[in-house]
Amino acid sequence: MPREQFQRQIAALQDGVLEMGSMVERAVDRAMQALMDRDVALARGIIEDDREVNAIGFHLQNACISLLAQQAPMAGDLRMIVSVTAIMSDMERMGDHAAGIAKIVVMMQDEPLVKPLIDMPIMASRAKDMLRNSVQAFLDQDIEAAYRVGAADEEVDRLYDQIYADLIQVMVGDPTTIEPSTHLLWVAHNLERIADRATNIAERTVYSATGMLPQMDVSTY
Amino acid sequence: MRHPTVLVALAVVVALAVAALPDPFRWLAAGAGVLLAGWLGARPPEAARPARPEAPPVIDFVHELRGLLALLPEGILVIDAQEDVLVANPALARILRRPREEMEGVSLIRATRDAALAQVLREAAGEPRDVALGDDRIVRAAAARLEAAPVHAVLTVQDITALRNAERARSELVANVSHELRTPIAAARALAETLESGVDDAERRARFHASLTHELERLGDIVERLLTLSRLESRAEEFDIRPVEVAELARVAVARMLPVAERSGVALAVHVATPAGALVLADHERGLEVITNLLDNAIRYSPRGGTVTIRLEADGDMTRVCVRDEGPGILPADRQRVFERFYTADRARGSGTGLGLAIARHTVSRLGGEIWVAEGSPGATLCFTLPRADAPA
Repeated sequence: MPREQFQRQIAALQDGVLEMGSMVERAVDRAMQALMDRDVALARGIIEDDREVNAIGFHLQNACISLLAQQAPMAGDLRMIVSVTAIMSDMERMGDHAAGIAKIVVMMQDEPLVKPLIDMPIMASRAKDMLRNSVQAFLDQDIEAAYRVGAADEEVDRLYDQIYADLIQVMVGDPTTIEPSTHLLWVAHNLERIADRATNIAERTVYSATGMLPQMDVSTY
Repeated sequence: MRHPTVLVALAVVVALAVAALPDPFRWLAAGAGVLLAGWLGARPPEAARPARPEAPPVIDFVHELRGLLALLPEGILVIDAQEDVLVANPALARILRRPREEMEGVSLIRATRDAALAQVLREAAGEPRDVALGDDRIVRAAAARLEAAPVHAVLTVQDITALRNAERARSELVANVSHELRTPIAAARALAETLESGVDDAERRARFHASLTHELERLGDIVERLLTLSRLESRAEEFDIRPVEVAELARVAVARMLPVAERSGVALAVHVATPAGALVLADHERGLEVITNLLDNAIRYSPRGGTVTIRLEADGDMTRVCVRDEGPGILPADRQRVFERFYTADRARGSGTGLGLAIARHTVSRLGGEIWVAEGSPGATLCFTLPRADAPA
């Protein structure tokens, strides 16, 4: 019976990972929406809601700690619980990066965009895919799927390079665009960090399943 | 004891009624719920039926519930007190784009994969809430709590993306029509007032008159296009459909747009990959209008020195016409919306009326073809098909 209850508690932790993942994904979505629509009110809402993401992350980390203390789990169970705490701090940071994009939107107000946003939404979409896939890989303890997430980070890095090069060119061409270009560069940087955190989750999946922590992050940033 | 299914059916009705929308489907669904509740209520109570000790009543009940909820067009999720999903109906699986069989017997969040929907169900606050799904869709969710074993609470979910888009399109239409009409009206009024107060110089007077005529023509053009669109939408427009040589259609369109292209410093190229003399079924003037519209757009979004390419090729029973430019391209999210009235993906550059592609879509559809934005970059490629005249009917 205690074993059964323990399994339920582990499942609840995994549910927490799903829940946090969904919240962070929504935050990224809304942040991009706020950027595209230049919706300062929406951006402020995202910054506000990030506190809830943080609170849930903290709550789940606590749940992990009490489970460790009460059940003294071993091997796979132990690694699973430890991984959840690590994933929680990754997701909490992803939420911060989404809120970071929202803060930039607030800062930009209705400052005109220096270039149409083409690569940026693609980058956001890839980062979200990586997050969703990393969560699924963790749930399934699927090592191959986890490695695929790590590989997907390369495309995000490539998009970041592209955006970086484009914006530098815009700035060189017209120094009055330096400030608005820098704002967009920060947005791209936040997205790049979100994708990196998804890679971390994928690494944790491999650790949880095998006991070894691979270094998937070949990012130059 | 009342049959528990009655309670659930009533809960569904409550949740649906709470999320009241001007939508006939909702009332149909609510009506179905009431009927089902009545039908179930009229059935003999559990005790009066022969006992079936081999089947646990909860399983039986869930099975019955699943059958009844499968009929509803609304997405419905039923959970027990542990927040495990008892029933997820097919409509919900469709709306959330998840395999239905993976949504039952698991936790709420595993079934929905959506923290906001889970929150609606947990709060069961009665007020419906609009929740954005990740892919630019929006659903209206409402929940009711029963706290009757085994059913703890019920969530209803309705995809209101189409409704939201229609609302948005309507308000945009009004705003855009007013905006588009205001500029030429203001210009015409200023010119007319100037002429009224008297202009001594005959040459200037003639120029003002010409400008006034130009503004009125622009107004007429917008109104004409709106009427064309309206006629196309109500299918009142007469089409004279006959075999037309598609390469000739393309060449005439290119010749028409050449002056515009030259002014913008854009080259036009035609690639004919269809057999010589290939015929399509089309209304000559309407078909021409579609191609010129696409060319006009492509030229407008092209950088100076760029090339706009029109390509004709066979596509099964159809002939495909694609127009490619070297401009900034069209975002995946805009690929469907560019065919909406007044939708210009890049408003800063959209100097057109924003009606051309909407007219093109309706025309192509009336001619039995399809129009779409092709994937790939750089630049944008818009393609449409027309039925081949020599294809077997």
